Amino acid sequence: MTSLLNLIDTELTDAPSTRRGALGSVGRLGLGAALAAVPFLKPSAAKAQTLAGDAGILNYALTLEYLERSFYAQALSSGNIPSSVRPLFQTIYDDEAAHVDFLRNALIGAEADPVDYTDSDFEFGDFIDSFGGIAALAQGLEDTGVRAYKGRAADITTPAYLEAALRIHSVEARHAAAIRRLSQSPATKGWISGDGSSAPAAIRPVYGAGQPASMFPAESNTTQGGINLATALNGYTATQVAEAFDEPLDGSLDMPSSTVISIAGQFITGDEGDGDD
Amino acid sequence: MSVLPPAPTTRRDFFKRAGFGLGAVAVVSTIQACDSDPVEGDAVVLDFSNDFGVLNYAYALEQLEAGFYATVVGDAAFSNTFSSDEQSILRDLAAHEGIHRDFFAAAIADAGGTAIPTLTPNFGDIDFGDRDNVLAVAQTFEDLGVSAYNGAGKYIENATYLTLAGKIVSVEARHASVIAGLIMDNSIAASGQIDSNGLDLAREPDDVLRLAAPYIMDTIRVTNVPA
Repeated sequence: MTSLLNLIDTELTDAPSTRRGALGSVGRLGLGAALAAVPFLKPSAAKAQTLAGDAGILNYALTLEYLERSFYAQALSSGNIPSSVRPLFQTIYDDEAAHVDFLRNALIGAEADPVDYTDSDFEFGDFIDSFGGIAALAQGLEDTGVRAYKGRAADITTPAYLEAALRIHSVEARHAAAIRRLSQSPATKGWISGDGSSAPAAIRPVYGAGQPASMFPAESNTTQGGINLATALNGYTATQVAEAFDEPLDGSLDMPSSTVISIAGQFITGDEGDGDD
Repeated sequence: MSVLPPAPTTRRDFFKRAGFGLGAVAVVSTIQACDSDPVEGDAVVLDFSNDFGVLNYAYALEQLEAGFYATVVGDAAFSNTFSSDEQSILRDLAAHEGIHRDFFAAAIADAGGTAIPTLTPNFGDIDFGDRDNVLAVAQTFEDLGVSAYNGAGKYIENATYLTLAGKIVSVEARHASVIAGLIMDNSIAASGQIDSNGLDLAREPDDVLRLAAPYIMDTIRVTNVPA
């Protein structure tokens, strides 16, 4: 059997060290210094042009963070969050707001143009009207965020950006796990178990395959690195194997039909950059 | 598939061994045979000049976590120490970490690399019959794992491996969050793990190995970390 890992093996020694090469110049600097040192982000770059490369990925991430910040702001002011779990929602809101500020500052520090949304540019319909709806959509948005960062991390060429993205990615996963248990009894699964088919229609695609499915399999996937672990490893169920790995999902700001943008787009009702407040 | 990890003969054998990396026995048998001093452990070098060094670094940490949870769920007092929900969670963690460990052993071999030896744990200071102690160590290990993956991602050259590490680190972060929630309601992380920018901790390999060292008999060091 020829696995994916065999096929890419030669790259281990033969490929030029893009990220490693970049480490020498910016990897050890603080993020701000590193961002300022990135040569391809010119002061004159128009916003449309920033959709390419690392700045485009940061703006993609920033868009998702605006979405999450708005959701938690609206959820916290809805009156539908029980006091017993309000501290969790406040913590998560604070993290999402910090992510927005961090990514904006990173882009501005690199003299790139951050996308602009306000909390009122997003609407969540009936989801906000009950705690059950809030918990369900929170889970969907957090799991989307985890899959989205994972789907683009390997495209990031600047080590400092990559590390920052990974550090946000794992915080989103922490959120996802805590939120996921709110809808459960017994509340024992902070990890994605099963195929998500019981989720509300708007968020069911969060757990399915992306485009292409060979790169972005559904969360029920059990094949990693070309090895079907459900059959290759002894002593574990397929459910446990699928739980043990989260999957990436495709997304890009300049591809409205990409899976993540399709999911997020359901909730974006305002215009980017119109300066409303 | 060149090498598949063998199954433990019995659960009893597994726990008697008290080793973490059972899944890697076939892969590393020749290395183990050369180990003249198994009690004090091996001297393991992780060479970061290529991705196999980083994968073995992840493999070492997964051995640590898998060995810990196997001991937790195998403890004679397990069902008395933890609530039924906690038992369910800890059994899931034992399975996930065992899967991660066995995956790395298989994947490194499958890609033509050499997996590091089965490491020998040093859990002597952990009271496996004490809920708070076990959860505190679990939190230490999960947060350490998250910070290790977050810090090592930039050293992975191959995009497929980087994505694979991403697939695992978010599950580690889910574990860390759930453990934090068991320790304190509404908590998702230990104090100081997430900074004011909302960023999780990232640690360099030397820091991670220094923090892991008290729990591992073997001596692990990292070389050729890109400057």
